[in-house]
Amino acid sequence: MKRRTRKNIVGGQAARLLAFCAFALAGCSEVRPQPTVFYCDGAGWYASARSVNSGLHSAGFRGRFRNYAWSSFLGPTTDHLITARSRLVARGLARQIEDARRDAPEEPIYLMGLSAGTAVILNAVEELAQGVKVDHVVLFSSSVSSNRDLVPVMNNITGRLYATTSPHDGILKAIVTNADGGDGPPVGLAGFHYSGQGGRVGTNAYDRVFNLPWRASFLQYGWDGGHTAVTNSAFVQHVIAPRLFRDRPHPLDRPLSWGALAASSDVVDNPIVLTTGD
Amino acid sequence: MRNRRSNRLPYLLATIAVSILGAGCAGRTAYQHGIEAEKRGEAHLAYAYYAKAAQSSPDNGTYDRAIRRLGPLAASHWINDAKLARAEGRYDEAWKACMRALAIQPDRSEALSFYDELERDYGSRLAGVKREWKKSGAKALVIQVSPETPPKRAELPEAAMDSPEASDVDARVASDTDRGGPAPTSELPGKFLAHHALSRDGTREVTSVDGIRIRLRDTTEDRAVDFDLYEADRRIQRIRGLKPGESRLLLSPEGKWYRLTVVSVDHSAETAEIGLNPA
Repeated sequence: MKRRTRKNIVGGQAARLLAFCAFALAGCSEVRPQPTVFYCDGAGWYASARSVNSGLHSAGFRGRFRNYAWSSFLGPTTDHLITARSRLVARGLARQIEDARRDAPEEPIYLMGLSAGTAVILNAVEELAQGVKVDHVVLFSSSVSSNRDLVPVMNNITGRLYATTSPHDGILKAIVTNADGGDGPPVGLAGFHYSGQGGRVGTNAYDRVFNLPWRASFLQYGWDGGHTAVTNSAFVQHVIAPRLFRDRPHPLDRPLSWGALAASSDVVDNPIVLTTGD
Repeated sequence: MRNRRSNRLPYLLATIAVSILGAGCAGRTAYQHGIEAEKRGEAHLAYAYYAKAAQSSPDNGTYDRAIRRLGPLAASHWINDAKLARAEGRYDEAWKACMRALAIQPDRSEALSFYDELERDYGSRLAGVKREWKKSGAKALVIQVSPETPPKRAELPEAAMDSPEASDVDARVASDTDRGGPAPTSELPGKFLAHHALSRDGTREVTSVDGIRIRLRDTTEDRAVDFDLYEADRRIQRIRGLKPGESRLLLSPEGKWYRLTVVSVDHSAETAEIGLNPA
């Protein structure tokens, strides 16, 4: 028979006390459900998911990160012009989102994508079954049309939609046809436009749409305005994640429903007017 | 017709070349101004110049490094400004300064929590400035700054003392005192890490924290004071026309930032009291 020493008894009591405290603390603190992120990489560029995931983790994200492989592997042109617009591809992602929503109804769902992958995301959101909604959407260097009507998309998004834009995006400057099949400027260059039409429905939808234009301060976080550099983990950690994990919009966010100035970033980076030397 | 087109081509190319060169030149000029502002210790101004330079040349490594170096300091400047404005009841200014800090560092937790507190406690008083922000965008945040304009910002010493570097500097000050060197009398007014009384007839020059050498140059009838900062025998910075309550950022020879604040000026006795805190 094992002899119980004084040391063992004290150790056992300490362990029970610790377990009790841990249980009590777990009961007291509100455990927020961790989001599931669905990510769509760009056409012919399959390397950004890792840095986005890493940036989110550095910002405290502990949920699931699921990379939705949508490429046809027939090259970036085919992916950009054909695969990204395929309803079959969009439905595939929509079904995965519906499954995730059914499995964990309380967990937030975020959708993120790069370049032509953003077309897959927007098409998938439009394809969602009635009543299934996602929380936030982030579009990096999106190649969909600036003039795309976002009302049907925003009907299935409960939170906010962010789209990064940059005048220094050399890849988007070179494309002739956007990922929606038109010849208008892509979002990654010009941002989403809101014509002001659609009445209250339109305003409600575009109240939650934000362009995130490139600014010199983003150099601190590794985004030099380039097409794929926007997925730099530091940029995701310091600029994107705080927007996703915040209940309210970031103080600097200006929804498109506020008008044309919402898309402008001319001054925000330089709030000091230099009276000499320029 | 064809001839007219071909005649225009050289002009078109020349115009494009001039505009490209002009943009590069403007960037270099802005960068030079940034360097000068940084030497003067005006981190927020230096940052604005560097951002202007980088706006048209984001792939320039020099501008990139300057932005990374100055970003945290410039954001700190605006956060301190915001705190001061709130303490003085200038809530609109506090809101704008906080937004300027967030424009530089969007995830700065200190700025985000300050913003939330401001909205919670003084939301109704911010309606005007928020209306302006909604209407005119970031133009609502613009202020005019000239490098010639003396700064009108006082220090919030307790905020600076919270910084992690403060304890390190304290330790260094204590060791300097032990060595019997010209140590700052940090135990005098509790709000400053170092406090000095300077006089044109007496102690005109002190070596303060981190080897910063400060020399009193002059006082004026309107209670303004001029200083020169030295590194060895070389004057590295001129500070002109600071009045009691006003402050200026300094870069120590060891590369740390401090804020020099004028506590009092007595022109008849030609004396001035100053305090230093980590910035």
